[in-house]
Amino acid sequence: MKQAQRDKNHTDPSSPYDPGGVGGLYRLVSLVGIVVASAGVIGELHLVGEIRRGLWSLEGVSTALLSGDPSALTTLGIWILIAGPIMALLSVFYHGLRQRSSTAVFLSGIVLMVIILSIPIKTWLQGGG
Amino acid sequence: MSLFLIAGIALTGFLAAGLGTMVGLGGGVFVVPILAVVLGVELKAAIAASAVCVVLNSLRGSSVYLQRGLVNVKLAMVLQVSTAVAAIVGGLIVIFAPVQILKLLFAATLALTIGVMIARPNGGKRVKSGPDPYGLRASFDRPDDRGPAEYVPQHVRSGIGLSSVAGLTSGMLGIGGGAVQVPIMNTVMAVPLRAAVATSTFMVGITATVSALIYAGAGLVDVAVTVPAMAGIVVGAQMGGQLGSHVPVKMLRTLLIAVLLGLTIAMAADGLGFL
Repeated sequence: MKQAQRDKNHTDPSSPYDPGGVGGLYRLVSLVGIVVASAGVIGELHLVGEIRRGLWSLEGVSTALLSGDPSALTTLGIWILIAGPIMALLSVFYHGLRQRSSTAVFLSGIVLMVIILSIPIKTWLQGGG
Repeated sequence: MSLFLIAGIALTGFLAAGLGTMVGLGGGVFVVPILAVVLGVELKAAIAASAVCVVLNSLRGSSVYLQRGLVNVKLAMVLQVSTAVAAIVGGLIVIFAPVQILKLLFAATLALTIGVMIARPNGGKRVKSGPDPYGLRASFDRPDDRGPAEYVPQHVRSGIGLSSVAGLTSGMLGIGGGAVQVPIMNTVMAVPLRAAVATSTFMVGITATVSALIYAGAGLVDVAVTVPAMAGIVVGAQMGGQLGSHVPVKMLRTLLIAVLLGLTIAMAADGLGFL
């Protein structure tokens, strides 16, 4: 009985231990992120001979990808990794909505808001510079 | 950047994560000072690279902990609000503070980590029942088949306040902050150690994401430092996890305390302008 319950917790995406199947999502995101970033670095070293130091912006990365720049793959891999915890929060938020858990919705919503605020905060502090 | 330096960065990540995992610390606390002091990488680039590596490590560790039912997601969300806000403050300090000040702050954090490693404070006594005003009661299966271990986190308000220290440390120094977060949960909030480590691993990924976004926005993420460190840390953490039960941890702990002490002195001396 206990084993059956444990198996359920391990596989059921609606398990209270793993709301929204975040564990599986994390495994996928980390694997894809590191494979894409590594492919980008290998491509850069092979084709260009050096690694582009800076990250592409979210807007620039798609243009660079379309033009076949391998450094865009490296940036994309890093962005995918950074997006992992954000996707987890979205998953907890959505799971909370479905389960009508106001606490989970409220708290994950606030943390998501803090993360969204962290993106433009430097620009704000520098007066739009 | 030379291939020699790239290999050095990857090796640093490998050794730091491998040895750190064996004694229950993340790699960041070793990676940043070694990159900055030994390999001459700019401190802010090392901090930003470490933050991205912390996200990666958290994703990998949490995926296992979540599926084992060890992460208390609700507790993580409660503590995460103050931690994430503090991480923003920490990230902004990195952008605007002089490097010398950051080096001194890092030296102080390393000294604190040494203190925690030496003191190894006893965990609070697990509370299985009683008032649970925030609905944070949880349980997990113990590995020895002794049945589920139930617990009710205590002193939640203190935990929320103290967690902001972990967030500030993480945002300011690019490290996970587990060395601060785990003792808070285990000692102050009486969360069992296994659940505290798992919940902290889940939390540090979110905290480091906040920092990483701020660093990326400020142009501090140097891909040539970040990706080799990531590769080294992934392989090192994997090997450290597998070798952890086969090495004399007491001796390793003593060795790492000595390494941390050396890094503390080097970082402080650098911050004070003696190097």
